Amino acid sequence: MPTSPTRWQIRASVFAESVPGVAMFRRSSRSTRVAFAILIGFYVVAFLAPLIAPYGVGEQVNIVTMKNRPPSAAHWFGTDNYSRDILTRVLYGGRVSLSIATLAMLVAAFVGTFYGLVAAVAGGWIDTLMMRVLDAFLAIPRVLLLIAILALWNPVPLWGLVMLLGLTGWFEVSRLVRAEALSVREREFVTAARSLGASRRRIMFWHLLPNVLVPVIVSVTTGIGNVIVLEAALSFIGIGVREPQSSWGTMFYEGSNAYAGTWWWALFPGLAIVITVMCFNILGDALRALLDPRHLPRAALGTRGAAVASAE
Amino acid sequence: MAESLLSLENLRTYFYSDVGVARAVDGVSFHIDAGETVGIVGESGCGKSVTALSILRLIAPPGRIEPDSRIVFEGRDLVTLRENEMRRIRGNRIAMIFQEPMTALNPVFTVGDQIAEVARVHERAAKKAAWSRAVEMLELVGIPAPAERAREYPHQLSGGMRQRVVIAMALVMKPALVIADEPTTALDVTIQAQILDLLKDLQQRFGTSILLITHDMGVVAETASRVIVMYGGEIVEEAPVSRIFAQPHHPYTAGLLGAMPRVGETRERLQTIPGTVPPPTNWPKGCRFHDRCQFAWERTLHEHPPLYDIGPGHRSRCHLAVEPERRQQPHEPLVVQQGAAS
Repeated sequence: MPTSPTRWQIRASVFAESVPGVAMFRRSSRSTRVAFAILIGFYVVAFLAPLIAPYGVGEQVNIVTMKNRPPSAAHWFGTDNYSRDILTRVLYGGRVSLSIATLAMLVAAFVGTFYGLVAAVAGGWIDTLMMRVLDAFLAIPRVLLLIAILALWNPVPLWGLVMLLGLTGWFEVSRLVRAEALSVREREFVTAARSLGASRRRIMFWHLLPNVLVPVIVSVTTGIGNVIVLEAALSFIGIGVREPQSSWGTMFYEGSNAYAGTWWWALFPGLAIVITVMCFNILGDALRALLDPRHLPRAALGTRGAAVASAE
Repeated sequence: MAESLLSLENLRTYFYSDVGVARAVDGVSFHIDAGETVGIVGESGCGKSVTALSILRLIAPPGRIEPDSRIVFEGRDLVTLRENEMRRIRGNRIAMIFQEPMTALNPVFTVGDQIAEVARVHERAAKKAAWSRAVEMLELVGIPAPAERAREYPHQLSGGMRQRVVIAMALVMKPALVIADEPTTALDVTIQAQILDLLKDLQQRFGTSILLITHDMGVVAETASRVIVMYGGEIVEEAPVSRIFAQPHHPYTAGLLGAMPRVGETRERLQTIPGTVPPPTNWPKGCRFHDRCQFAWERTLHEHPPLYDIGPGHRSRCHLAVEPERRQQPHEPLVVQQGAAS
């Protein structure tokens, strides 16, 4: 007798069917799938850096004979000024860059979702006030704000950088969440839940939250790419990640200061940044398009989406 | 007077908008006894759904239940109850069944979770206990293989199944009163009958009272013992079901019945009531139905009729009660005359 699937298996498959982004991913374009695969690859490689890196982190192979060597069989990406293997450093740098960006966007998603939900549920003047505060935050250029804070908080630990990048990146998320929550709030199942005695808090977390996560996912995806660039920029001007820690941004900065002849020193960390950000943008755009019913082929739509599409 | 389960006294629910005050429910009084089924009928916009939401105090601003309204349920006035006490009544003592089983369920949770949630909210039931309660409820509302169905999501079920789930959710706490707002409107005719039978069956088992809101006289005939006809935010006629079908008094009630197809009757066309419900910001003076009424006369234009007692348990808000001879002089309603003139 075949065993019936567990609740979680069903939940996962239903989620895959009901959330258009996930369902559509299988039918998505080749570039999207390639981008997705590259990103997964980068995360895996960065995570496994200690296992797969050919040399130790910070290991100076031979300071006399092996510094500033171009790419070779032994050192695929060449070596730097201190005879460190650049491939190894790019792998370890990826750990720092990717984890800072991912964690920062998680912080942003968390704060933004909560803020947006509270505003939508509270409504009235509280909502108005919260949105005006948000406008005020949005009026401050993010880079300038970060530079100002980092000038004072010096040197900044990695967790500090994560918090700063996260806490300056949630505004967009909270707007999206609020807008979505306002529309979900009017759906009948929310009234039904209230008619059955659910409290405001329960409505917020049980009924609204799971139904507003889709735009959050999109926003976080593109957000990670932005944060990687931002972190690289801050590191490039010397106020982000510092030695002995190094991110792709730090390495690119060091490489760009080196002799003109040692092109490999800046090229590989730079490529890593460009490829990662591009992949995140492709993925984000694909998700955004997939979640917008006007972009969907009719057959792939549920009844609700079909109604929207045919109404146009 | 004997204590009713629920009695509304002069319920007025107004919405304060930029274009004026919408008097959606404007002085409604009625009662429901324990175990009784009362039907409220009327067209869209006559105030029946707002009445239902008012009873559960689910009116959101700019809507407001006017302070002199009273909704007495099990001896307590719900209008003045604190919000957290009100929450203990919702879903527990009074539950509601909604029209659209498609949208009344949260798409991201299994139906079992959603039924279990009610028990968890009101009894702080443990997860396991609440889950087995959910399965039990599904079985009660006639869903086959309830243990498996409980793990399914709303979109995996048919419309009739979903409505059974909604009913199961409403009945978890065995409430004293169930408000069913158009429970069968969104369903196929064959499923409608099943759902109505289910409601009747459950009512007999639990002794629940049902307030059935519908625009379908047929549904009322099958389930309710008493009918309240609403028009223009107020009750225009109230009578036992047998009486309302045999001798409707208010011309609006007669119009609703005339608009209903009946088996075994040969009629060329169904009758219609000309015109539409006027906007609640601007109810007509006098009788609110006068412009659509084929008997309207001078008096109905200026004098707002009271609810006349016209028989055992039979009340009607129509001046025909005191001037019955006017019934001999039907004419084209005002809306038709004006429509022809313009």
